[in-house]
Amino acid sequence: MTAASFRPSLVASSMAVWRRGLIRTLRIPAIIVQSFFFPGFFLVVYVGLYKAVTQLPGFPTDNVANWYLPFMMIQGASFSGVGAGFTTAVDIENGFFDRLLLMPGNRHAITLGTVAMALTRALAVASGVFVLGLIAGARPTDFVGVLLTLMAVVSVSIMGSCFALGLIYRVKDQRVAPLFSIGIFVVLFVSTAQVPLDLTTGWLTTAAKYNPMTQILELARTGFIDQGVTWGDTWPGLVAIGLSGGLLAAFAWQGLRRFVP
Amino acid sequence: MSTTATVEATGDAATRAVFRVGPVAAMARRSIRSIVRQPQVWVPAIVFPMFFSAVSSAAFDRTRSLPGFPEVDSFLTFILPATIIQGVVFGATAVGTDMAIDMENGFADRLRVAPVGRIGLMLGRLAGVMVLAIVQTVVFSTVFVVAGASIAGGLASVFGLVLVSCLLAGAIGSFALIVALRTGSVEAVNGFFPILFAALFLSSAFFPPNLAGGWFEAVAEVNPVTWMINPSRRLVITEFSMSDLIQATAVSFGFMAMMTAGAVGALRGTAR
Repeated sequence: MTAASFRPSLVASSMAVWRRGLIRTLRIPAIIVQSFFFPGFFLVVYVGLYKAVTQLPGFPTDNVANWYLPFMMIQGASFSGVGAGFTTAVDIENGFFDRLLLMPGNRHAITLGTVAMALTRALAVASGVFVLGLIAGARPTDFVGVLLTLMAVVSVSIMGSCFALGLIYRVKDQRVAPLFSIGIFVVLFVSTAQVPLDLTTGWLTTAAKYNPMTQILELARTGFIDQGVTWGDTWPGLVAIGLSGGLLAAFAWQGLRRFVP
Repeated sequence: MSTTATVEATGDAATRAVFRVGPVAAMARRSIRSIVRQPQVWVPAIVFPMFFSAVSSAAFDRTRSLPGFPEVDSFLTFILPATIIQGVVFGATAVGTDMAIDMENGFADRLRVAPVGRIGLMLGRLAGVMVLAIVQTVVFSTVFVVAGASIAGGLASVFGLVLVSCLLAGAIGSFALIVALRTGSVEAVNGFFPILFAALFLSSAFFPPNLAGGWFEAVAEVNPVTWMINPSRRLVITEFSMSDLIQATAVSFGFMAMMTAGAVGALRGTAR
């Protein structure tokens, strides 16, 4: 094989992008600290602050840490996607992205490698938050449910990354970066992030009902509520992941295709 | 002393006075204009706290029925002072960012050689975020009342909240200036934002600490943000009282005095 005909596989190229992202993250410990700080800090604060919320009639657990732990793991996962968007924005700004586009092989390896890096970060943060949650008093009620929480973490990380990448591929300007966080923040909080749907009031009840994040959170929480895992609580989350994930993956995929006319 | 000398001396004094007042007023105008021209500063500082309050209110409104929760007709009433302080935290750090940018582009060096008192210079710089705090308080109070909150003390309480937020903006702005002057980095100023946010969350801002109990209540009790939030909240949910106004303003004024002194010290430090 000559050098000119060398064309690495999609997997090999994606791994190269992933490895670069990993080295970059490890070289800046502040990124790791920041990724862990928000979900970790808010878990501790929410568990301390909203302890009395579980006394409300109809609350599905009397352990406040059980309620907020899956949400904080999901929050950490979603913000790993924001990180993916930020690093790509910097690459576009400093011209490195153009060099990535010139690499031999499939260009979609850029997206896959970046998403894989975000996923690595999300899993690291979720693991740390999970341990912190156990220390704060969380006690899983169903092992299968914990696996579903993990599945939700992985899915939300991929969706968050695809959203941020789809945006930056289209706008190609670092100034769009705050929109990553704003979009994810709104989707996260206009859901059952803080209390169950039955306990919400007013506009939030309607908005949360139609927000796919509500179903994903319900799926993530099945292993932490008293009732345990039920098919009724699981399938809406799986459908929400499938539909939202598919749409956001297409958003990122198309974004990269449009990036180079 | 001759007549000419007297005139010259008087002229010099007048010139010095103009130099003292003029640059400070110019800095204040520049600071206000800078905020107005940066919607990325004031839009999130108004929209985010309102969004967060709208979500919290709809999520936690039923907690008003819990024993020990203050008697309020809406969760919005309970959360209004917290929203104002949150908005001030969002907006007031902008003065530090501007300072760091001025240090990067050399404008800060020109200020250092200006014949004007350091305190005046700092107050001039803080004018923008203090005006923003006034606007935020008025906007939040109006929107919340329209959305169903009630302010028991009426306009007098709103005035009290304006005063507290204005002084707090001065305090947080000065804190951001200290960071900017010590580091000269925009990133460092933004990096301190989580600390302020943490202080807000570890207080009585978003939920009554007596219902939380345990370590949270102990931390909230010694958190100075609580000392400012509680009297401000009483102005909203109980009635206007001069003692609450004095308590809330004394805490925020104390913060501001301490932080402005720190910022002046930092400015002198950079001049050496």
